[in-house]
Amino acid sequence: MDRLDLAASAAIAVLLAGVFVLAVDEPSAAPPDVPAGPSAPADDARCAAEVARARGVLEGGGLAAASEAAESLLRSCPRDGDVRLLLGDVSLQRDDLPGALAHYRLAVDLEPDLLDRRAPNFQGRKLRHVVEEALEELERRRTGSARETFADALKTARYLLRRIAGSCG
Amino acid sequence: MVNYVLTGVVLGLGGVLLAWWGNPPRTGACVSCFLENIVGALRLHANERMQYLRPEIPAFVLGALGAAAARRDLVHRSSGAFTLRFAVGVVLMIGCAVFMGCPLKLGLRLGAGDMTALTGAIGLAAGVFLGVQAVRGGFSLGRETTPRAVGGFLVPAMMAALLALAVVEPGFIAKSTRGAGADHAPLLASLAFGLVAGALAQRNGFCITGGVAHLFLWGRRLPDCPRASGMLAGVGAFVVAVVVASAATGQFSPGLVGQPSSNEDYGWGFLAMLTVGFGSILIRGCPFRQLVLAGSGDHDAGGAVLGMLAGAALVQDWGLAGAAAGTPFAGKIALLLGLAFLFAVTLAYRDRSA
Repeated sequence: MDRLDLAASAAIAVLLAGVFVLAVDEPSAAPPDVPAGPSAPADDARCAAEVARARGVLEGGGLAAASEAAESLLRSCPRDGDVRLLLGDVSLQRDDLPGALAHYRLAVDLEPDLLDRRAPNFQGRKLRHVVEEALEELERRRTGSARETFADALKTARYLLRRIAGSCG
Repeated sequence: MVNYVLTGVVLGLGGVLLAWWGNPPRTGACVSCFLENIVGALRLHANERMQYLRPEIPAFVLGALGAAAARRDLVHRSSGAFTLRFAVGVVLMIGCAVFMGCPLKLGLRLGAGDMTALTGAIGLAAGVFLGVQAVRGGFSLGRETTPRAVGGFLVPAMMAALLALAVVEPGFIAKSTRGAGADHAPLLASLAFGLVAGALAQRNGFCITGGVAHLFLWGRRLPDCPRASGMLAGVGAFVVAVVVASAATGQFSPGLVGQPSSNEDYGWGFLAMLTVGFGSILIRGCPFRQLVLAGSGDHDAGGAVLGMLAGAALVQDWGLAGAAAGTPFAGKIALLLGLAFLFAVTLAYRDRSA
C-alpha cells in the first residue's frame, strides 16, 4: 500500500466511525411541540372560524380575551398553523419576542402554505416584516446575562428569515 | 477563450433571469433540484411540493445532442463501468441535496451574495483536489471502447420523451400547485435557455469542477493551455455574470442571514460539496457536464444521469435533503457513507502499475 492507499483507507475508517457516532447520538424523530398525525377537514373548518373570531377580538384590543381563546384553540386544534400564528401575534403584543418567534416557527412548520404567495392564507410579507423587526430588537437586547436567553430566539428568527426567503425544496 | 466566456455568461445570465421569471429563488438553473422535481412529476417520490417536469434538464441534453450532431461530434464511448457511474451519480445527488444545490446553483448563490455558500465552494475545491490526487495516483474506470451508437441515444430519447410530457401535461404527470414545484419560469424561456446552454457547453466542455480541476492539474502551466485557462475563465465569467444580473434584477443581497436555500450547517455543506467535487472528478464531470455528455452520445454519462435520477428520488423519499432547519440525520449518514464509497472506489480502481 502506498500513501494514497493509506490515506483513502484512513478516510474510510474515519467516515465509518463518524456514522457510528452519529447513530449512537441519534436525536429524537420529531420536535416535542408538534403533535403527530393529520387533522380532519371538519376540524380544519371549525378551527379556521374560531381563529378568525379570536383574531377579530385581538384586533379590537381584547388582548387578554384573545390570548385565552388562542390557548383554548391550541388544545382543540393542536396542528393548526393559523392558531400558532395567532399565538405569535398575541405574544408579540405582550412584547414576548422569543415566545412570538417560537410560535411563528411552529406556524410555518405546520402550515408551509403560510409562506406560499399563491395560497389564500399567505402571510409571508407580514412575517418578514415582523421577524426582521424582532431580530433587530433582539440584537439590541442581547447583552450580558440575557445573551443565552436570546440565543435560541435569534436562531429561530434567522431560521424564519431563511424559510421566508424560499428554497427549491 | 471566447467560447468559454460566452458559455459562462449565458449560464449565469440565464440562471438569474429564470429565477426572476418564476423559478425558485437562486434556483434558475440547478441540476439536482430540477431532477428532484422531474422524478416527483413522474411520481417516483411523494413530496407534493416538488413535482414539475422542469424543461431545462431535457433541454440541456437535447441542446448538446443538436450541437454534437451538427458538428458530427457524437462521441459514443464506454469504459464498461456503467453500474459504478450509476452509483456515483446517486452519491452526487446526495451531496447536492445536503448542500441544497449542485455546483451551478453554488455559483448562483455565491454570485447573488449568499456568503453561506462559501464553505460549499471551499468544499467543492477540496473535493476536486482529492479527485485530482486520485487521478494522478492512477485512478481509472477502464479503457474506453466504442460501443454500438444506439445505446448513446437512449438518454437523449428519454429526455425528448420527458420534454414532450412537459409540453402535453397528461394527467398521470404530477404537477405541484404549491411550494417550489409550482415556481417555474415560462416554458419557452426555460426551453430556450436549456437548448442554448447545452449546445454551448457541448462545444467547449464547460464544467465547473473541470475548471477547478484544471487549476490543480496544470498549475503554473495554466497560461500556456488555452483549454485550462479557458475553462477557468468560463467559470469566472459565470460568477461575474451572476453578480451583474443579480444586481440588475434586485436579487443581489450579500450576507449570511435570510438567504434562500441555505442553513447554518456549514460543516455539512462543506462535506456535501466535497463529496460532489470528488465524485465529479472520478466520473469526469459535474452533474451539468454529465447531462451534456449524455446528450453527446456518451454511454458512461448516460449511466451517471440515470444514477442521478435514482438519487433524486431517493433523497426525497428518504428525507436526505438539507433544509432551512439544517441537515437531517438520514442525510448526514447517507453523505458520510457516500463519501466513504468514493474513497473505496478510488482504492478499487487504481492502476498501481503506472
